[in-house]
Amino acid sequence: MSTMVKLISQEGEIIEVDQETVMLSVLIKSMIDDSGTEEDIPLPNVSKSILEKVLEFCKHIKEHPLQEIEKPLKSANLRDIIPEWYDDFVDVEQETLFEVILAANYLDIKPLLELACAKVATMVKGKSVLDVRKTFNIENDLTPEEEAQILEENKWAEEAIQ
Amino acid sequence: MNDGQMLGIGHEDLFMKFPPGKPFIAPWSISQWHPNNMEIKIIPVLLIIFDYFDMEDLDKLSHVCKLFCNVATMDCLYQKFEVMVDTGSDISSSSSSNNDITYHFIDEEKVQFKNGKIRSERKTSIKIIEELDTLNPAINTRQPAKPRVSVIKGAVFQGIPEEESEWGDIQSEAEEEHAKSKNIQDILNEFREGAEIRTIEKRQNNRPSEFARLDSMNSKKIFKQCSDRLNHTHVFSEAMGDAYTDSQHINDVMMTIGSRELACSPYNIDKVRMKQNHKEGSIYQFQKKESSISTTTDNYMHKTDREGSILSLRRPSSYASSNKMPKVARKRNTFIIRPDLLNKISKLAPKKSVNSFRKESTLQSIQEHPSEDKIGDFSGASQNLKPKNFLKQKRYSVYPMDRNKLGQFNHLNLLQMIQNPRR
Repeated sequence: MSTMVKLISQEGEIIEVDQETVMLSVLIKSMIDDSGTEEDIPLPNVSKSILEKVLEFCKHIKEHPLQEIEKPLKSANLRDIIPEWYDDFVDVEQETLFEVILAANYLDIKPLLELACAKVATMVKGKSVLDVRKTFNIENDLTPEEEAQILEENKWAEEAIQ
Repeated sequence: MNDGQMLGIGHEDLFMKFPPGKPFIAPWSISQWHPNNMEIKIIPVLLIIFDYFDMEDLDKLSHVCKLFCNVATMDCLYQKFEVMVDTGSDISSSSSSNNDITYHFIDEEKVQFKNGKIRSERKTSIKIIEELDTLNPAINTRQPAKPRVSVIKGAVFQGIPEEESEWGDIQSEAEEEHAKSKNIQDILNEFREGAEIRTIEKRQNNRPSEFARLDSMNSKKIFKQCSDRLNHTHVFSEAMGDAYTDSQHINDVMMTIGSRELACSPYNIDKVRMKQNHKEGSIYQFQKKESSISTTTDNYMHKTDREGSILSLRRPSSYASSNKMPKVARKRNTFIIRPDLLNKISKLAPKKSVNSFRKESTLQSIQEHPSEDKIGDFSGASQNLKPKNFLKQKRYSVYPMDRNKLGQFNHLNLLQMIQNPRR
């Protein structure tokens, strides 16, 4: 019988999960190594809903390992690259996706972090500069002079690619 | 501007600031949601995202905004410049994990000897490690023997046949030397005991007085011994004669990039040997380190010129096949510069050694940031949010905290290099 671990979410709610599942998180693993499984593990940076989503990922990846996503991305459609379940998993609203990224980074879950970042990358890939700004609500803070400078400095890269 | 405004983003301030309570949905606005912690994570997360782009995408993204431009520039550099790592894994006293990476900064200092002579000397890693310890309290608890990250700008690797390898001898020499070496702490003690007044200019942070002393008789010998032991930098040995010039070039750029990608590099910087000294540039041979990725020992050639620019391949035909490329590099398309791009890239490589910006920006950065207040702010931001019992423990982020901090220094250098590539 696997040992259960108590995780305390940002809201202070306790989520019980088996130790094997959460060991994917380097953070939690280190805490368990330090303090054992009897002590509750506070995760003040992760809300309950996101924590549950993260745990869902941890449970699934145990049974269905995710291969490393190839870089650079070959397609703007993540489904072409990874199994459907993982694509569905990150097919969420931007805010949720970025919360997952933050949680993955905080909990140090590399596969989840890379999956979520790959999803963001697919949202950018193939889009024009204007589309990218619009998608992510980014203000262009580059002055015309700076843009000209970037263009000038990128010439060498363009020459190299040609 | 939109609700989520980008304020004060410049080369000195990479991190976006957001007014509180304003919704802004973008990964680079994550500091809004976790204002005490997450701004220092923006750059690493963006770097991961940008990892998935090719050069064309990166070029495009550099026009989106300043932050994207900065990150895209960094990622471009990762893709353009060869990167090498010394993990220090064979240092017996090292118990650090892969995340425990020490960055090696070089700058100049004046050394005054008892006889009154003053001469410039490159600052070695002993001070560098200590300096970084001072800058980042999180490092203080670590052992002196730590993995060190280095980079080589513009390096080009090509496979050479195994039978041509001289690595058997090189390896055994290195192993023998390490076996003979003293414990690092003993060497440091020896270093301290034979101390003499050492005047260090251009320094602002306080350092233990014992480290400000150097024995006039034994200083050079012991100092070098310490340096070599601590860093396994055989490549920097003076015994390599003319190679020292080029190895300084290696040193010059080693502080320019800090990235998790470095940890994936398949090369050992301590397994390096100058194969041929040529008027156009020395040729180095590197050994691929054993890793979980590949257990085979492959040899690669690296050629660099004296000015720090990229030269064409010595034997480009042997490199043309992607099968000759290191596995990681092939997969990531990050560590290798394609031979067919070399001529064009070399036009853009700095014509002058990066010494100038090394002296200016690195030293400036170190001088500008040693304040403990700033350090406290930096480390405290994450500590506040760490679960209990964590303050005394290891770093738990995917990206080491000091990496983030050093990223600021590195980024300044990178930007200067990009802005003034032909200085």
